[in-house]
Amino acid sequence: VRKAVKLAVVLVFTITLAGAIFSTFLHTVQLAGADGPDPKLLSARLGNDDGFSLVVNYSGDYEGSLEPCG
Amino acid sequence: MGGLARRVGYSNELSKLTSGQVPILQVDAGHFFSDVVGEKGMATDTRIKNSWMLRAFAALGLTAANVGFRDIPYLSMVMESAGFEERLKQYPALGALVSANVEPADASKRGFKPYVVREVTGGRLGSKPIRVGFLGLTEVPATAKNVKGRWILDGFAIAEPVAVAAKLVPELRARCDLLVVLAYVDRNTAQRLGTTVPGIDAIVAARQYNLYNGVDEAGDAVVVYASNQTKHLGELRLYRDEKEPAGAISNYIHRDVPLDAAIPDDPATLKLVYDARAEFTRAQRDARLVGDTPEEAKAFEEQRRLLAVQSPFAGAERCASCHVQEYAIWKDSRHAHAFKTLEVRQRELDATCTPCHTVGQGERGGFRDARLTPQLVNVQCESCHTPGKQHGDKPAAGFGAVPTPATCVKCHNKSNDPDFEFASYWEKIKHGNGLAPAAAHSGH
Repeated sequence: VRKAVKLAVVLVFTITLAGAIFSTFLHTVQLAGADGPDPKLLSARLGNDDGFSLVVNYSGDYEGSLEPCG
Repeated sequence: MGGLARRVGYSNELSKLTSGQVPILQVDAGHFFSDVVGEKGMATDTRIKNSWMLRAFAALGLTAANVGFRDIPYLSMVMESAGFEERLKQYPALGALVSANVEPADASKRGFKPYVVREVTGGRLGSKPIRVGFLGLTEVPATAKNVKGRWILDGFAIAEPVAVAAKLVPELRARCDLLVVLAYVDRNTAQRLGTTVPGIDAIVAARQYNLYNGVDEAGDAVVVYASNQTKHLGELRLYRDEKEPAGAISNYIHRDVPLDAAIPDDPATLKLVYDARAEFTRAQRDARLVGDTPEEAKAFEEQRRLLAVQSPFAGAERCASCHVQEYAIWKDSRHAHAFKTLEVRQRELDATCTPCHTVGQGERGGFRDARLTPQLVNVQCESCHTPGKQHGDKPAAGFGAVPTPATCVKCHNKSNDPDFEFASYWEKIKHGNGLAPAAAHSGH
């Protein structure tokens, strides 16, 4: 009986731990999907390729900042 | 919004869209360096930040970067003749700087190329390369000093930009098919360049412009405006007319591309950005380290106490002693946690960010840093209502500082917050007995 109880406790503990790990993994995957770039929005940002030949991308007033404030 | 990693990420995606058939030229119209200079000159952390901008420009493969007058404080150091060749090897982007109207006042500094011409080939440009010329100009700032008829700023002489353009544009026009002026100037000067100097195809202007989302036409030139801090990336898409001779550009489309979460970061550039952040944050923290001897710690505490006592700002906690309801509304708002958004990104020491996340930075007795003036972090009552300590001492005397929507857009401008719309935003922080903001404090 003691052996059976011990086995049951170990089994329950293992299942709980596995469930927690799987749940965390699932949550991480979901978050990554939610935070990743949306293909539709990206397509809107890029616009159509209607045959343009040359692009000039221009900037100004970076003020020494390589990244946005927050 | 914004950031160099997204800019490169956008460029990668655009290249995929066109199957690599379309050349993408990267240029900057000026004010890429921080010009924050304290009593002891430019601080180490600011110099580090600027040096990373040079590394980033090299990684971006910039064709031309125009010297704006606000770049000159840092350039006065890195363009020193002594040791310049070594610095050029370390920072090749120094070779991409252009300016037609900024020149060394004497031999102690190196100068810039007035313009560059880039021969561009691409699958859709025909057999003959197209030559694109970029000429750089800046306006003369009010801080320049007139010395014997020349406007001098930190060892450089700055000539009147329109007169210089009139002299150099014909020369450049003969060498290129498409002539673009990069100009750190106000809107009137940008338009004057187009209307008075023939031969310019496009003028790319910067001068801390809010998002304009359009173009001006001036003479034969189109004028476009770079949005402040490049939270939107400016773009000209150019079209070649098949009927025209090879190389001729006949049409354009202008776009302001929001550099938001829809754009994936370029991984290599993101690493560079993180490395830059780590180095300059370390330098900022070192600069603010308080000595560990009891005397040094005591001196720091005394400095902190004096700053608080002498400041005309009272802090939200003091306002709360009378304005209980308003304080409660503020406490639940995002304004009350504005500093946290900087801390999460390790930007809490960045002077380009903190003014919109604190109280009174740059004003007498305003925010200095989170250790020296901890009572002034976050956007508080006095960020909008102006200093209130005097009012707290004598409430009966009244308090006239009533904010208007114009107060909000100092930070909620189109670059920082393109979706800002006063009526709905006001609802989130509505206070003052539910009256309109203009009447909210009439009881004082």
